[in-house]
Amino acid sequence: MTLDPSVNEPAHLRLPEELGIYAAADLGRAMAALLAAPGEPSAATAVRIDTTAVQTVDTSGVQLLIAFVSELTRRGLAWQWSGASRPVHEAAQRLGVLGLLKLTPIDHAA
Amino acid sequence: MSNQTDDDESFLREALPAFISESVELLDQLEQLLLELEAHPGDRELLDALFRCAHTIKGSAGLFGLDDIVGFTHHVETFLDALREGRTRLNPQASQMLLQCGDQIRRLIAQLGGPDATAREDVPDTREQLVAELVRALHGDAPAAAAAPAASEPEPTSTASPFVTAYAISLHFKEDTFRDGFDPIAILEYLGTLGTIRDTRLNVDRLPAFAQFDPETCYLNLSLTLHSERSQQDVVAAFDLVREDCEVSVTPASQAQDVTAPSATPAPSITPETQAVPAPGASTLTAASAPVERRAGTDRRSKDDANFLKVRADRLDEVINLLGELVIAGAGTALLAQRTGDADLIESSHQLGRLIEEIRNGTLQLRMVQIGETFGRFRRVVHDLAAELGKDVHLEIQGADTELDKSVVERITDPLMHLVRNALDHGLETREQRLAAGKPASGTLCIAASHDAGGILISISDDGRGIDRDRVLSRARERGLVPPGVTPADHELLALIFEPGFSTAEQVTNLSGRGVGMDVVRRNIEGLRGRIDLHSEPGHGTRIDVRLPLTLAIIDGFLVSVGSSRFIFPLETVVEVIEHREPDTTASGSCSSMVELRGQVLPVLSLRRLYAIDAPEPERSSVVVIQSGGRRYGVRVDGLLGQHQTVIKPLSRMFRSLRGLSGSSILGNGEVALIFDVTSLSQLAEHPPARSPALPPAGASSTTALI
Repeated sequence: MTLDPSVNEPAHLRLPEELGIYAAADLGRAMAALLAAPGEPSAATAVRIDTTAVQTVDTSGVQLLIAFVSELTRRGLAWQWSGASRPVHEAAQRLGVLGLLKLTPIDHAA
Repeated sequence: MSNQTDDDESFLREALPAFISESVELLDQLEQLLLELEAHPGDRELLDALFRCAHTIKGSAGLFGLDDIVGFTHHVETFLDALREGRTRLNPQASQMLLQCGDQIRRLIAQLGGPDATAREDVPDTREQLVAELVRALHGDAPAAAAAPAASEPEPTSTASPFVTAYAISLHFKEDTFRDGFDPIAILEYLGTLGTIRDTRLNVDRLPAFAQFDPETCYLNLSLTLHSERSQQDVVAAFDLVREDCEVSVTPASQAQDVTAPSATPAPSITPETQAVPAPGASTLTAASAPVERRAGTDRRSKDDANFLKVRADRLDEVINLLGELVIAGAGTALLAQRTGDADLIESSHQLGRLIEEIRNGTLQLRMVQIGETFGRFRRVVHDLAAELGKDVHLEIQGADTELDKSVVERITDPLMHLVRNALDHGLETREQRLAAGKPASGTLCIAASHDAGGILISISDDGRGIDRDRVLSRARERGLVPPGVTPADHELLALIFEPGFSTAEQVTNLSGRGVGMDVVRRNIEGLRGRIDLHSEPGHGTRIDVRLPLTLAIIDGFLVSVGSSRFIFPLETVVEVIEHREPDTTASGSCSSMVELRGQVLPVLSLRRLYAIDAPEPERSSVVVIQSGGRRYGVRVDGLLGQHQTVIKPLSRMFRSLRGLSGSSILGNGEVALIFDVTSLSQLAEHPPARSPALPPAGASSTTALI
């Protein structure tokens, strides 16, 4: 859930196994730290959000992702998904936010 | 997730008995409501309650995957929904049809097994026919043929109806939704089991800038369309668990389209097996209405749920048994404390005694149930029997909220049922006979319960023909119960009805002729320390009074002594105690004498004579004045030992031949005291027996050994 120290460029946010209410506060802090890091991210480098590890997602996790990418977009920062997580896709699809999260429908994502 | 599923399965297995017993209760309620509706047609509250019965049974059965029950009950529910919405009316035929539907559901539940589910297994399967009737009653003949086969299919598809409604649902989550452990995705998953979800839209307008964003706060609103064949109430009920965290609006939007048609936007199909069947041309059953104001109804239900706790009866029995031991041990401790003379210890044991009494009262209260539930069952019996006999009967129920011990209620139901059947079969006349006798065409049967002298009085009365004394007498002579030429007094004549083997010609009709005579009824009631009395006026009716103790476990007693024998009166029957200086002048050979009390003559029973207690008479004796069944009488005793909490134990075999006793009790010091049955004692006071069996040798040591 924290920033990967080995990766400086582009900024890399690795999401935890459980993307839910119990991890939400920590992950929120990690996101805030990433946004506040001096010089990074910049408009030139896209933020990579890595969903590879995610096993379970609840609505608070989806809301957190929406809040984060909305903030990135508001700041004019590019972002992209890294890895593929079926739980993330399924949760986004159920809540009808595939478009908002720039995810493709689940049948094509797997 | 697989662990979760295993847990769910084992939970459902364990919960099945609760489902069975709840459903049986709901079916009883359904019957009762239908019968009440006959008296109050169109009563919206009753109609709503009726709908909820079927709705709850269907919903719970769905949880257990009992498709047969869900499939059939769905049709009943649909009809009841139309009924309460005023789209159809409840006429006697519909009422009869719904009663039969209840029997069918009962039959299906009986097939699941379980102790409560034994009834109605003999009912033939008429579901197909009933579904056709239900549909016909709603829509006329046309759809009946189409709907009937659906009920007989055991497949889950039988739950699908051709009526699919699109519900517009909007959910406004509160900030604490996540913190309270609710996950809107889980709600969507559940909704998916009710139908097909389309057009889910998450509204994130409330989401603040990231700096102000709290990841644990919910800022979301959700809107979606649910295509479902369920009723609006079903859909609303899906949100019961989250009502604290969410404002819900459910509106039937429009008739559903073909939900299986390909959709441009990807719709999550969560449980494909429950997808609704396309129904081209079918009209929607649920009328479009304003958004449901759901708070009032569901809040009240949840409050009721929270106020009740179902406890296994055997666990409670165990506690009550232990409590009995505690009461005895407490009395023993108090006695020992008295002997030591230690003031602190005595005070402490008194304190303990008070607490034990409070616990006793509180615990016994837990077993108290209202008799009304039992009376409710009689409604159906009266309804069916009256129809079968072609009699017009109006049933009155009074004092349904009277409470008594559950074990008493359970054991009194069958005897009461028999008395009710008897009253209908023999007591009340047919319409023609009544009119000919100058009575109203409709007969009245009244079942009433009330508190009386520390017990409960249940009266079953009718305004029928009364008991034909001549017939009873000739039958009694035939059976050799009355010698020829002797005409017994009226109350003795009526009492013959309770003799074993006695039955008048009428009593062997198919209705009451279940091999149970009035003697069995009396034995059952006396087995409960109760008593049955019969009053009958020829041409005007019969009243049967059944007196029962409130509980079978513990009573407050008044302890007295005669010689070295100890006796206990139920405290609530003791009116007063008078000092009696004169020696016992009761004539030898008689157990009873008279004293004058404030100008009234009071029969006084001598226990010394009655039980042939061989002990010197004290200089001063007392007369305990007892009230029983509207009569007063005195009992002469040697000593008054005060109030005593009494755990009732059955009489040992040796004492059973003694009249006037109902049980025994062990005192704190290990002595045995005998508990009086004040009603039979009152008969002894008024009609003393010529000879009475002697009490076994008195004295603590010998009586203790008998128990």
